[in-house]
Formats: sequence, structure tokens, C-alpha cells
Amino acid sequence: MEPETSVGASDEALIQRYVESEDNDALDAIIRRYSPRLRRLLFTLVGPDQDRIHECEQEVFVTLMRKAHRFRATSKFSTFFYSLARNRVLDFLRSERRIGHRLVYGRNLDAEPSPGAPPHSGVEAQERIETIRTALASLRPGERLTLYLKDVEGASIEALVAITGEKSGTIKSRLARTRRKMAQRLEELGYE
Amino acid sequence: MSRDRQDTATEAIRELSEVAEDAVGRMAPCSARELAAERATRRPSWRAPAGVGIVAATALLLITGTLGILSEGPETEGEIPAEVLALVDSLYSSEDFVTGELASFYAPQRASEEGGEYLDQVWDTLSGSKE
Repeated sequence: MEPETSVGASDEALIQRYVESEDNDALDAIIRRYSPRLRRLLFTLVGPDQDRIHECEQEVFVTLMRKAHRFRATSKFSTFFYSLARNRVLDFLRSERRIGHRLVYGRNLDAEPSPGAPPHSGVEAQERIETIRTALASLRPGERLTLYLKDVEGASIEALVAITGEKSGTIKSRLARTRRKMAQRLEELGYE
Repeated sequence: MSRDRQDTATEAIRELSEVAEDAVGRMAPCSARELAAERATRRPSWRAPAGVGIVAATALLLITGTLGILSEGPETEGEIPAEVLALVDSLYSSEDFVTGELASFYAPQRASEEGGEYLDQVWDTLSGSKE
């Protein structure tokens, strides 16, 4: 639960409070707001291994602690956060590539679907998820991230410009190319 | 590729993120204190002594200023300054140059890009074709 002193406070006000007085309650509130979204992003892009998700999540929030003083109240905190997260996630994905990890996605989100388990836990659904992961793995890290931010988080092109530092034309054409590539791969893998 | 097929990518990544919702919801939350402890373990053990930055910046300014003085005048057009030619000449003795039959074999070939007069002069000077 969010600390009482932070309920109703804007993200921008909370991060200012953390910068000015190292208020851990304010940072906790930010973490509680952004952690679920960040974990969902990491699960989708990095893979289902919870240790890796945790490791990468820590990287992002530690970076936030280090760079929070750079935030300017003239922009939205979410944009600032996602640009930090983007850089750390890309670093993470690239370093894994360098040391020879392939993005191997496991099948065992739930080895045996239990009664009342989520609707995605059947064997057929698992295979479908596996197919999507395999198609995603064929994209470059930057492509995956941009596609996710646009299609899942609903980021606007303007927000993507601020997050990535790229021109809007570049982002639009990359998105179209990425979607084509992903659709092609999904088709090859028999996804319907 | 049709618009429908492009939508397939969007639908697929959304489907995956819905699974994420279920899976990561079970993970324990992290806290500011835990992160502060993690951050403390990552602090670099060595930092540059105070003043090193100032010395480095001063040295950089001196180098930049020196180069600025050497390159007085228009940067992209006109004659190559005599000081630069003298400097290049002083770097090599006449023994470093290949003459005779092998000269054409070792002569550098210019790439096909266009350069403008200044680059033409540079090329002529380096390849010796102006002489």
C-alpha cells in the first residue's frame, strides 16, 4: 500500500520530495506506482525468469535514485522514467547478447495448471505464448522496446520522441517495419 | 503487407503482456531501503581527486586554442596554410617517398566522392600531382 503522506501526490511532486530530502516514503510510492508496469515490460521483453526481472528492475530503480536530480518539473515524470528504463533495459538485453545468452523463453510459467489458474496456463495457451516470445526474440532490442511502449503502454509518438531522442519520422517508420517483421515471423510460426 | 497483418503484431504483444500481468503480480515488491542498500554496494571505490577535472579542462582549452591559432582563416576554402605544409614536410624525410618505377604502384588512388577545391588541393599536395 502507498504511504499515507504520498496518497494523491503527483509523480512529479513525489520525485521532487525525494530529491530535496531523500524521502524514502516518496520513492516507495513511485516504486509502487511504476514497478508493476516495469515488471510487465520486463516480463514481455526480457523473459519470464523472475530473478532476471528482479535484477533488471533493481538496475532501473537504482539508476532512478542516482539520476533523480536531473528531472525537470517541466516534463512528465513518466517520460523521464521510461527514458531511464529504456536505456537500462537495452543495456541489459545487449549485455546478455554479448555474453552469449540467447533470449530463451521457458515454457514453465506454471508447469501444471492448478484449479483457478490464470486463463493462459493451458498447454495450448502456453504454446501460443511461446510462439509470440519466439517472434519477439527475432526483433532487435530497440525495436521490441519501441513496439511495446507504443502498442501496450499506449505511448504517443511525441512521448516516444522524448523517450528515445529520435525523430518522429524515424520512430513511425521503425514501428511500421517492426510490426511487419513481427507479423511475418508470427505467420511463419503458425500464429493465428 | 496489409493493415490486418500489421495489427497481428500489436495483438500478439498485447496478449503476451496480459500473461505478464498474472505472472509478475505474484512477485514481492522492492523497497527504497532495499534499493539504497543495493546502490551502496555499487558505488565506485575510486574517484578522481578534486582538481583533476579542472586541470584536464584547462589542457583541453590550451590544445583547442593552439589548433585555433594554427587554423586561422577560412576552414574549408582557400590555400593550405604554409605552416601546415611545412609541418607535414618536417614529418617525413625525402627517403620516405617512393620514386621511380614503383611510384605509380604506391600512389594513392582517390575515392570517387566529390570534394571541392580545398580537398582537391589537399589531394594534389599529398599525391604530389601538383608538382
